[in-house]
Amino acid sequence: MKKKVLLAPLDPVHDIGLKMIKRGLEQNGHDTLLMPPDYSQEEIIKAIVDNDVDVVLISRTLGYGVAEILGKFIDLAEAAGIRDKVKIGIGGMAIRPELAAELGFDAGFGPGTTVEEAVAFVEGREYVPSESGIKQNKKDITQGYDYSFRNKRIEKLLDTIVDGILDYTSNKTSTAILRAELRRQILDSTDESEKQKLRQEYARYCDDVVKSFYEAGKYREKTRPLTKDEVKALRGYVDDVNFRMNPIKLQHTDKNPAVFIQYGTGCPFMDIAHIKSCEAWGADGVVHFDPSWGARTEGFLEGYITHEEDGSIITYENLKSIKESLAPYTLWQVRAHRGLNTPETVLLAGKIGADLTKINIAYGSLSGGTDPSRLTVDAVAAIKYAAEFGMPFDVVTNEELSGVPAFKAFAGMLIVSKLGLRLGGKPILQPLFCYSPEVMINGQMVDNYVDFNAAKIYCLRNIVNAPIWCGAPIGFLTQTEDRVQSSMMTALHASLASSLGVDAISIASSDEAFSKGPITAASRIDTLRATQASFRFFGHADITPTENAKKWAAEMEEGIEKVLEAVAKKGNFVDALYQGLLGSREDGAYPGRAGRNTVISKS
Amino acid sequence: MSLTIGIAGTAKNTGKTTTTSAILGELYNRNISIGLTSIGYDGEEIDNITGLPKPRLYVKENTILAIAKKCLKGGSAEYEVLETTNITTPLGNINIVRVVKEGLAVVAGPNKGSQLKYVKDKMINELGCKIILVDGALNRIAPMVETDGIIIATGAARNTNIDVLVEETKALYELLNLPKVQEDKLQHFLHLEKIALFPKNTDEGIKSLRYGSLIDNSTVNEILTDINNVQIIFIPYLISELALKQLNDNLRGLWLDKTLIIKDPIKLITGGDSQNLLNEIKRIKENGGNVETLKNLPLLAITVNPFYPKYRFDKNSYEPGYINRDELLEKMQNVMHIPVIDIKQEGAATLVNTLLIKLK
Amino acid sequence: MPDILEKVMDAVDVETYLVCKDEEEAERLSVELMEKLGFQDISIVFIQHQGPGARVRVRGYIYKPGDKYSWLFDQRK
Repeated sequence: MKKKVLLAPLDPVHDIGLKMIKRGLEQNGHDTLLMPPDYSQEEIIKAIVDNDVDVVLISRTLGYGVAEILGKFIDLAEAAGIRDKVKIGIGGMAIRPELAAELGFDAGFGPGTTVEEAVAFVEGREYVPSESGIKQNKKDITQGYDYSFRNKRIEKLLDTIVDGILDYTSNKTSTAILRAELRRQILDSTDESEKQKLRQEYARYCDDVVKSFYEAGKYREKTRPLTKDEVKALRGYVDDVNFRMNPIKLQHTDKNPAVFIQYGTGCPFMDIAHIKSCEAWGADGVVHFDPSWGARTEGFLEGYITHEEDGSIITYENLKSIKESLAPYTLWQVRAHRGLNTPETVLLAGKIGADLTKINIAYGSLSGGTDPSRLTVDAVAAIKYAAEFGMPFDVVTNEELSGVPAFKAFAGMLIVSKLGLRLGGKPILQPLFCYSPEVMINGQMVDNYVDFNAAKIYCLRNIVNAPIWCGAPIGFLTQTEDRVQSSMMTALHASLASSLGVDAISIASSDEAFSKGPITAASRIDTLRATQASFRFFGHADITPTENAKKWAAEMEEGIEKVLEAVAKKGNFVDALYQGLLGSREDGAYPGRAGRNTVISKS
Repeated sequence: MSLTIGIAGTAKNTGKTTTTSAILGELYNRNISIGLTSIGYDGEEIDNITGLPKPRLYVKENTILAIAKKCLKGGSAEYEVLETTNITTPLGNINIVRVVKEGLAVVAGPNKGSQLKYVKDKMINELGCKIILVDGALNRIAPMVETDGIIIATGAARNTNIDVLVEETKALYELLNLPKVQEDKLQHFLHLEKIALFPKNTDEGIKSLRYGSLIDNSTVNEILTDINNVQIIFIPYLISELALKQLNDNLRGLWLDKTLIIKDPIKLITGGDSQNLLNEIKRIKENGGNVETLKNLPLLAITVNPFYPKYRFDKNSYEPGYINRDELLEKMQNVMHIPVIDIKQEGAATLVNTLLIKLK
Repeated sequence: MPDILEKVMDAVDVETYLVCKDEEEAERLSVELMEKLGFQDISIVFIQHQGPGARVRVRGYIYKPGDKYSWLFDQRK
């Protein structure tokens, strides 16, 4: 129903907020009347009567004695007999619902109030304090994609390669797969003595360092269990922080992608502190980073364990405490992609309720140094878990950072994605937005950072209708230690991603290029702020690449097809990895550097 | 029989909450069924962790409370919700609850007079409360019109000059105790929503003006148009100090044998400074006019507090300050014909005795 | 440690512009500045010298991951 609204500043200056709300109300078909500033309270009361308004919105900057002035205004309205006929809201800096209640207003609009919120108040829809009004649902990154292939030749090649992979892995298993099965039994068992027995069996499939934990209770160096007090304090901390959460929304338009941050300070508590800070400043999702040695160590520990170096240790308890601390709207990804514990990581993530995981073969083999055969066998098991738990997973192309050209990395990514589809999973493509060795050498970024990144997205879109999540983090190798430059690079890459219509991005902190110490919470806020500002700046406006983007996209697609032809011709995906078809020693990759022959034949 | 008592403070730190607590405690001692509500709430003390007001009133079992949804969990007391009303506030709907486990409570009731009336009637008629306490908030006084009388907490925090404080309180007292219109004449006014001019010659009709409030010059002029024929000026709503002064400046001697009738003293008190308003009332009387009210709002008692937060310029901080308590009490008592109590020193026994006499 | 530093989640960054002749001097001055301010675990995050002086960002860690964070225990006081 159409309302008549009087907007009045109780200040000597005009409040810009009132003008914005006036516009919003008019757009929604309401009549508005904006009083000039500096009218007396009695004059405002008279204007309310004269104009027979339904709703009054007052703005006032809070300061010394202002609460009394506002309380008096409500008293005047009541004494003038209009309080029951007119709804009165108050807005301004430092106005909280509690204060509005105290002063006798019907609603209070503090900083960060949206025009929509004020319109809802005018229209008599329930007053919803902003904490629940901003973030609603988790975004499903895979929604709306049918994974249909536009490039049918590539699809056919991928199918051939996937057939080969499934055939290759059918008679193989690994200690990682066996451990995942045991872990599932440990988690499902309610009998402590049975659990103990299973743990002993689990330890048999682990490296010595993990074995000594299960057998003698020893912790790896630079790790320690968290104390009971610390665990208890964490609960208190999270409860209190949740109470006062009122997260910012980063996106300015529907087109802006979901924004992920990566955490892994080493300590699950510091992680949680960072996660809560990032949630508050608008991050849509968080990605769990485990320590680099975690990928090279067979087996997981148990309990609440902290770590003095980068990466937070994966244990059921650590992950669980992180999960429990997340806001309900925050997307959570536990990455499992590159090491010796892929299936168990996906299992734990699924059991605990992660939204997303990360599974990969090529990158782990080429740059992570993991045994290609092992990663292939483990990936099949891991994808099956991901499918079982309904977790979409991204497939990274970080081998580009070692010097593997994008088209080769993409070929590897498409193979794993097709494997994922075949096993009932929902893969997400994760091209890098980076200043890669490939472009440093070949000069595609001499003029700008836009074209080559755009080419990647054009190319993938030409091949398949699949979700795209740019990683990881965007702008990799363009950032310096200067936080302004660093945040700016992140923000511009975020807007490029948005302009190209991708579904999600992972962003770095402004400490991205700083390597001498842990990332700080403040540096995370820097890039979230910058990204928000950049989304605001561009809105629906696009960034226009030069013709190079289309040209390079076509070249990439050709390159991918050639790589896939070679892999298909090879007949064995693992052999193709070893032979460098998806990234060679010359490129900078080193397949199987840190491990070979770690798969077990099923007898 | 029941009694609804409002407790208002003239400023922060004048001891309003101390007064309410003391009365509450004294009523508990005497086993009287109590309803407790507030006008909004006094949000000065916010719990920094929860962001909610700190609970400050200790309530016992079976007390009936009006309390906004968000404040239900704000203290240690526990409740049985008797009714979730349609009254909305920025802190959620108002609930009427019964205390099932004693403890501290955040009382946050409705903040409009009409809503207070609803809650009050409910407490008295359906829930058997004998005394309803209405805890005021900040300087909000308008909804107090629904009470049977108010207690005012004042003191050094309002003004450290004892003489000024006494004068001001006395003015408030006099405004609140304006003479009432004769009972049989009430019916002529109760339905009127606009300013009405009653003619000397009863054959002529009553002239109804455009506004219900006297807050601007144009309305003053409208009243003046045919003032010679007017016997009664009835103003149902707000009267601002400035507009009343303008009316007086114009009327002066013409007030002779004319009567200004207001709906209740709150319509006057909200309009400006009490002393200035009282001066205008006095001017009317000096010129031979009368001032009456349809309803009065008796000032039942005054509690005084000699404490004030004293600002130290050298330290840029506050420290406790006190004015002379005995002098304050004595001067106040000399001019008031109602109990004047230092509630912190004396407790609420005398005060509650006074209230209970009213109840009987 | 003074109480206020216990409220710092992880580190205090000091950003300023130092008048100095080269980057080497800027580094020395930065560390000296942080030491003077009482920080112990100091890192130079960013330093760039141009002409008149150096733009610097120096960090004093209060807590590193794995430490016992006072703010974690502070909440319910």
